[in-house]
Amino acid sequence: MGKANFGGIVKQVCLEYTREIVLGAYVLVHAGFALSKVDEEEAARTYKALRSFSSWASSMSRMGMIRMRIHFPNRRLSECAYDPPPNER
Amino acid sequence: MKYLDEYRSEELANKIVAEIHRTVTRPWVLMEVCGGQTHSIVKYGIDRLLPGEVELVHGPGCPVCVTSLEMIDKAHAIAQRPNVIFCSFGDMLRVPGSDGDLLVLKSRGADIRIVYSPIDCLKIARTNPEKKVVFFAIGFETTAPSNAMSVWQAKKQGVTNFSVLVSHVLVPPSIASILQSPQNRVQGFLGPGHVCTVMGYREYEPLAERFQVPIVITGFEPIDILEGTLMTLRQLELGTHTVENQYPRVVNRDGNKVAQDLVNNVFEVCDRKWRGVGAIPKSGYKLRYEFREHDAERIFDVKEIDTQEPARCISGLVLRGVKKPHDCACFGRECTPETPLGATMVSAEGACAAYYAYGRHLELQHVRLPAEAA
Repeated sequence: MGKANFGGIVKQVCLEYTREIVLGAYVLVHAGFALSKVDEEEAARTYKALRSFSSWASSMSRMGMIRMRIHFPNRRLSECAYDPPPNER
Repeated sequence: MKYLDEYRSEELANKIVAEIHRTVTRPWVLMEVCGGQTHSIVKYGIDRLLPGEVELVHGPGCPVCVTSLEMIDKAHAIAQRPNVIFCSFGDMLRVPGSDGDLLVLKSRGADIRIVYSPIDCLKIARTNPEKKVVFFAIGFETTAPSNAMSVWQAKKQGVTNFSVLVSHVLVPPSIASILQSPQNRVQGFLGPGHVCTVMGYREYEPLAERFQVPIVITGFEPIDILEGTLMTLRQLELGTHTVENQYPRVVNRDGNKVAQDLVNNVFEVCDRKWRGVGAIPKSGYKLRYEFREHDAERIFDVKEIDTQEPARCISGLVLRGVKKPHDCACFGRECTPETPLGATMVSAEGACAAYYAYGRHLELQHVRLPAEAA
């Protein structure tokens, strides 16, 4: 068993399935068990590859083209990501 | 938080969305397999950022939703027996059986406890030697290592008053079942990232080949889902059908061998009935014979129970990606998280619950109201 810190909440987790991990590693935990070590090199490589998408794409209007496709155009894009306020229920 | 926040970057999301718009030339239907992915898609409004040609339908990967009504009724029957402590993951407690849910039984005096991990049940069993402690072992391949370990440890430590009611399900047979259905519309899959953490993705390769569909093993953060969608769409546009891994930071092709070994030692593959979907051959796990002393179905001798689903609930069609939650006349009206008709509204990972939690029932009312007024 070991201790895992979930963004401030510390819980005991079983490390039997990830015996190779060392103190300070990032792990994926499910139902009290660490199932996989987060591969930092892969994470960095993927992230770098994603960030290098063509500048053509990023120069396109951030809201313009994307917003047109939204099914409810009168709602602001950012509202899609939030819970509705209680008084709307 | 590291490895989470950077996968929620709005700037990066917009770049990938623009790339998706550039890639797509015709209509495509994709299915995200996992309930966790569905939740992320609805929470962040990812489906609304995609081109109109791309439809995301929601898959069967919510373990609570697909646990059969028979199994839930068996759980209720066991939980009501005297001297039983019935343990379960929290979201199973509100799933309606034929007659109420586990919370109702708890209010009537049954000893029902929520646990974070099945290992916690061993502690409960040791401190209550005069009681029989039963754990409701549901879940996909992701949960199997935890449940297998609890049974393995119970046998090793001689915890004889601990047993499990097993209702495990497996993803690849359910994907095959969806693709074989005459109603199927799905052309590509966002594969289940966390299931593959345990199992790897070798077993998806024959599926992609046999059904000629791209399968991209995908993570759960918005950037993961957008990238998985882009990878699947690129394959569809090119006419290829391979298994790709979008989630290499935690998934590799072989999975977690140690976990697989223990799962195979404790469980064996069996036919399994899925709620709303029906029986799928070789789509579940049951305990091996060597562990029969920890098999709650054997210990409590619960007979086959004849069950009936509410006729109005379309959760079976939602779980197979044939319909969406808002296609149901009851959604957001008679059926809400407080009064759910079916399992897809109960579990946090269910598609109906996700649509409700992020306010899509309000939009539905907004759309319907003028027609109703007329």
